[in-house]
Amino acid sequence: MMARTTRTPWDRSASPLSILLLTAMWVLLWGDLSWGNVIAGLVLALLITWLLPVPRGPRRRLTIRPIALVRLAVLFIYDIFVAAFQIVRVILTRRTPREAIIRVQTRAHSDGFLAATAGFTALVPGSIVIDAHRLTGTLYVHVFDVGEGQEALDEAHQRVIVQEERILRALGSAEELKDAGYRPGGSMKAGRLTEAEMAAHRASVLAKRGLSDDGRPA
Amino acid sequence: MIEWLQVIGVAFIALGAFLIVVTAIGMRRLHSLFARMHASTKPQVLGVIVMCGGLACVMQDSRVSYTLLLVVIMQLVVAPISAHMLGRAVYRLKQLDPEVIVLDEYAEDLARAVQHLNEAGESESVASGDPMPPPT
Repeated sequence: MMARTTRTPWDRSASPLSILLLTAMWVLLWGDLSWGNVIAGLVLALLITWLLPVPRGPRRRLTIRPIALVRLAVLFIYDIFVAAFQIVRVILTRRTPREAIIRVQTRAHSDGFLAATAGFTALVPGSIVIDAHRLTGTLYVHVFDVGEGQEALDEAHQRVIVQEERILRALGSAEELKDAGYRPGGSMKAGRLTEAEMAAHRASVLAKRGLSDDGRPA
Repeated sequence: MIEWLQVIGVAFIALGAFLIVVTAIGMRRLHSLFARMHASTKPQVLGVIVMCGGLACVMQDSRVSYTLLLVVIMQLVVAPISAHMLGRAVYRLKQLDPEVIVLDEYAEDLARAVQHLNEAGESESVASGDPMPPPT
């Protein structure tokens, strides 16, 4: 684990993104994009984030890779349909599903991506997250209907990992992709870092924090 | 053109209603709580999405469409969270029927955490706390 984030102390400053989203929500509620609505939404957003602060994550630059984001969205919508009809079939045929709870070690080193992966996993076919362990980035995933044998379990496992990679490739910075052991880039074919590249990345992260190779203060 | 939109909208509403009815049947037929949660997160969410899409086609009013969009977004954000909270709570209350579960790696890790704590001489806090050593 290199750069897993820790909870920051209670901080009343809100991220610009959350203010933007709250304002957008207000405007959508009224269904009318007018100056009055935007200003009222902005005031409300500021008031809400001031009265009800949430712990802020580490400040990071927003990275968006448009093609990867479109792929994430399209596959997600497709997955929602597959998921719904899979369950409809099981319900209507009165079959008893074979359930399992599996442990999935996620790769990203950030609470935000862990939460995003958990959210997406809950809505795609066959899986819901029942618990997450923040420090190790472990998700405990309940699989609705697992086939026979180890391969089916590995496949369920792999689906969560691939989902995470899609999210990372759409929204993760190059640095965050490297932390997770992926080659930076929006394409799913970019692949994993090799051992040597991982070692180089690790050394550069340690050097940036003024630590020596074994992780102790230099 | 407008009539076509109405027809598509009504078809979507019917599909959404079908999915939600199946969810309700699933609540009755599925035996384990987790299986029921799958039913309440997936066909139900798609049902709401499709129904909102249908309503937007029928109403053809931008104000209504924006509000429906908000309903869909909220549904997508909230459904996983409620499923997660319920699942975690029920798991810890041990309301799980071991008969239907083919593999449970969560139980393995929790057992290891309890053992780890007992060895550290902190058995008092095991029942209430949430400490877990990293999986090896």
